[in-house]
Amino acid sequence: MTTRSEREKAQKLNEQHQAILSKMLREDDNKYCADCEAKGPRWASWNLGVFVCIRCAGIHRNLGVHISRVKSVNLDQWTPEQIQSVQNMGNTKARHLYEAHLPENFRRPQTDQAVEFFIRDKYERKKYYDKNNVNGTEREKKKEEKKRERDTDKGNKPAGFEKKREDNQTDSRISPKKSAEPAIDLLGLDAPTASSASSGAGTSSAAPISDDLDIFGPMVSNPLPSNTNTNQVSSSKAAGSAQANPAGGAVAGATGTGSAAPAQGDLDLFSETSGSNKAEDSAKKPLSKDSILSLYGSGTVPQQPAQATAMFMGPSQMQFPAQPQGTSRPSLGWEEPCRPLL
Amino acid sequence: MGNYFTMIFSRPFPKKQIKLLMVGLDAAGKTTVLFKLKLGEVVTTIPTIGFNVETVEYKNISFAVWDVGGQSKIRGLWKYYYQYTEGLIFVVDSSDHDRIETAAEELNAMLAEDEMRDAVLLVLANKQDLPKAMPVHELTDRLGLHALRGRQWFVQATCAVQGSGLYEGLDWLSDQLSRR
Repeated sequence: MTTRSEREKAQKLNEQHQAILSKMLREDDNKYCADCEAKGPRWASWNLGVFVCIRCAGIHRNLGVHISRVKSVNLDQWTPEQIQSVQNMGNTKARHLYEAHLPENFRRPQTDQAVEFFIRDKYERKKYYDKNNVNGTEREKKKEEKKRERDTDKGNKPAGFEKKREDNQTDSRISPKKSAEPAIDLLGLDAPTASSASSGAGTSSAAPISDDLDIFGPMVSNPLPSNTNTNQVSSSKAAGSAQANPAGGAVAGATGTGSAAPAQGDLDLFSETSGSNKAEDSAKKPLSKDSILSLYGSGTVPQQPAQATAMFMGPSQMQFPAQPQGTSRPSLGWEEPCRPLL
Repeated sequence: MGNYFTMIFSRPFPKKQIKLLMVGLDAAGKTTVLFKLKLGEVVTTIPTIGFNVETVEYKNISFAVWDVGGQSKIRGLWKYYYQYTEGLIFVVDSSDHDRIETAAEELNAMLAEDEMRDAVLLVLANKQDLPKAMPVHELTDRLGLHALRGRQWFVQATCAVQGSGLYEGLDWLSDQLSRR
């Protein structure tokens, strides 16, 4: 039996771990699933040190614990060792390690089966693994810089976007080079991951939008159909077996699993839209010099760089800041399973 | 919605239907077992948040199998599924040496509950296809099953993705429960 002080200690530790994890999830690369780039991962493989979406978490569990050990960010208790492990890695470093030899024009798979194949290639067969990774971060940065240079050299399209971006800034009558730099930097970090998903457009300004659209795919509709479908099949079968009561159980199942996830989707959607609405609102307001200057203040606050970026990038970037998600999700896990007790 | 669930929970199951509760640590393979039994195929699963329930007809018995999510913070909800449970299926990932103690603790805590007093226990030693999977006798030891008193129990080696061992487990269950 545990004493009260022990319990309190454990709870405190748990809160610390949650704080660390939430902080890590705010890092740019950790905002997207390490494998399919779905937005807002809430699961992790703690031994591999990556954050993944719930669908990829399911696939990771198929690999076996000798390859990947999956934990939920919110629904599991973490040990200090597990926290340490993800702190040592994270999605950025993991990409440099496990995707070092990923072909440049590689398109990330989206169907369940293709994603499983990719994940097995990546972690089980280590097909893209950097075997002599000494200082992966440095090397990868150089690679990315090179890639970006190539992209801008390559054609009119990326250059056009670059130009547009500058136009936006002159439109709003502030074109301080200083502000443009952090914006580009930020995008530079995101571009390589996002662009590969957005059909090789290779332009950083196009990517966030396509990612936004993507998120509703993998996180909500994709994993669910497989589950709800099977449920539907089974409940209809049970009903078809023409017994008076058994169907009750099966129907409850369909409702149970069915309702768990759409609720998640609903809330997600909500936080998502409210996030982008806000951004849109502020975009519609005519930008006065004062309001623009006040943005500089917030721009220096480290937690808000995305927002500040969005302000300068014009409407195409407006959907970028979508943080509230993280705070709305945890309660869901609790609400849903509790329902049967009513 | 609340009423709907209340109705299901408070209504005793019909005579021939037997309620089985399937629990175990996260990623043990509970959902895969459930749908392998129900559909005969391996479905792509995602971690269960909440529960799944299906009826499985086998040997003239209708089993209502409840599969409840196993993440550590939602294990506290298992107790709300205990009522009317006649058979407990405890699924273990046999290849997970690091967490077998945790599994043993969860199992023994559950068996100590009054509502589970009369339930028979079937342990599925799942994932036998994986490297370094513990054999049945080792799992039996490490789960402390020999120390159980006044409980019918059985450990069945399974591989849910191949479907091996699942019906042998149900055989034992139907045997035990039809004797009552």
